Amino acid sequence: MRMQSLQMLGWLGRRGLIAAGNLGQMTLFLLRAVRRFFTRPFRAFELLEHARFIGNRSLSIVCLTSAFTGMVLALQGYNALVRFGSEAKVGSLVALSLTRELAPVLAALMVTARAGSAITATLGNMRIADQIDALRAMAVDPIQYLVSPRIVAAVAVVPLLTAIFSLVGIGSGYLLAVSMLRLDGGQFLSSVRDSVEWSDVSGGIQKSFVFAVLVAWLGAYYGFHARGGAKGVGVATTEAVVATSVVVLVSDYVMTALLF
Amino acid sequence: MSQSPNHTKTEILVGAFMMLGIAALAYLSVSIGGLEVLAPERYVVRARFESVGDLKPGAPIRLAGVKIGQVASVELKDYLAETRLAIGRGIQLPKDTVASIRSEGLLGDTYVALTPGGSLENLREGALLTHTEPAIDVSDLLARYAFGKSQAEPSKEPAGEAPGKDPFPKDPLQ
Repeated sequence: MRMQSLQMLGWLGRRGLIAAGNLGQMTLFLLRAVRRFFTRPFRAFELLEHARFIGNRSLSIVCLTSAFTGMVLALQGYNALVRFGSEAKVGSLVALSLTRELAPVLAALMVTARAGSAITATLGNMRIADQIDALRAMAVDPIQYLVSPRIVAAVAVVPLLTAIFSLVGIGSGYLLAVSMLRLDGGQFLSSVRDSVEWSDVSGGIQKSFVFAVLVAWLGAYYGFHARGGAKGVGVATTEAVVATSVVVLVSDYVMTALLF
Repeated sequence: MSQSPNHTKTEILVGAFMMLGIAALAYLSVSIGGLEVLAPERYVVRARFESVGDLKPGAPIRLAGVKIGQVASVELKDYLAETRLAIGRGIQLPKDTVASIRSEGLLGDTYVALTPGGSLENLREGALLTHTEPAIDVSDLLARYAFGKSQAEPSKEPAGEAPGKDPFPKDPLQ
């Protein structure tokens, strides 16, 4: 009995040490990627290429999800608010929930699903095909060449996607409210303008900066350390998407508690 | 960096995306979020209230229903709530302007309503408004209405003489 409890304690300690080690390794990975971005040679074209991949190519899915999010918010908000006779506040409900919470979180999750998973798969494939070691053999720093531009591109692009998400969501909520719920358009817009403050917008954008780093960082880290053939790439991609989604949601709570 | 057509295409696409994103961000901040990039010229006057209710900094100041500024701060001074009202430069207010705390409907937001007086002198930067009306406490009003006068100010008449308040009314049939 005593042996067993000692064993359990040992197991717990071992897991703890491994977790702390992983966390430290991930932090060093991020710090190295950020530092290498500011040293020569600057990878300007890689930066553009990744900005295009993460930004332009995510635009359609971000618009699609935000349109439906805005519409469902208007619909649900109307159903809840009409009971108190305050359906005039639907606009403020849609706009506040989008700018403060849903736009940063859902845009980050969409980018994770579309671009984060692609980052992991690409880097994972390069890792198992020994291309990353080949880069190193050619005296090209793989972190500087592969990871830094992706992180910086994500930071430049994800906040803009978040702003587009908010705007498209509010717009589609407006269209639904006016066309289907027969609400007054002017009232909707004035309740949007009255309720949303600059601090709401800036809080959402600040969140999206953090999410951008998380998405590119975790995606690249899992890909960079993939091992075990094609199956390993699949496992790494799944792990990266799950880990990023969980960390985005947890850090969203923490930031909401600290920011607002 | 070489100038192959492929590069310029990527550059143009990313540039277009950045323009779109920045435009969305700017519209969201300025038009919806109310960020003041070119802050309008404002001057500050102070007003002290017995109670400001749930007035918060940033609440609108209205004159004849039109927004002319916003509340800059609410602080306690000499057991009164001292507010600093930031008002647009173009609007001159007479010295005997009355400031009152109002709310937009029963559940609406609180704001400061200004009623200009007839004085020939105008308020200057930092001046103190002396005529103010405190916030109306809706629950207090309801209590007065529901429980009659006696709740708010005790009746001076002896309880026994008040009709209908006799604990043991005489039987009208006797």
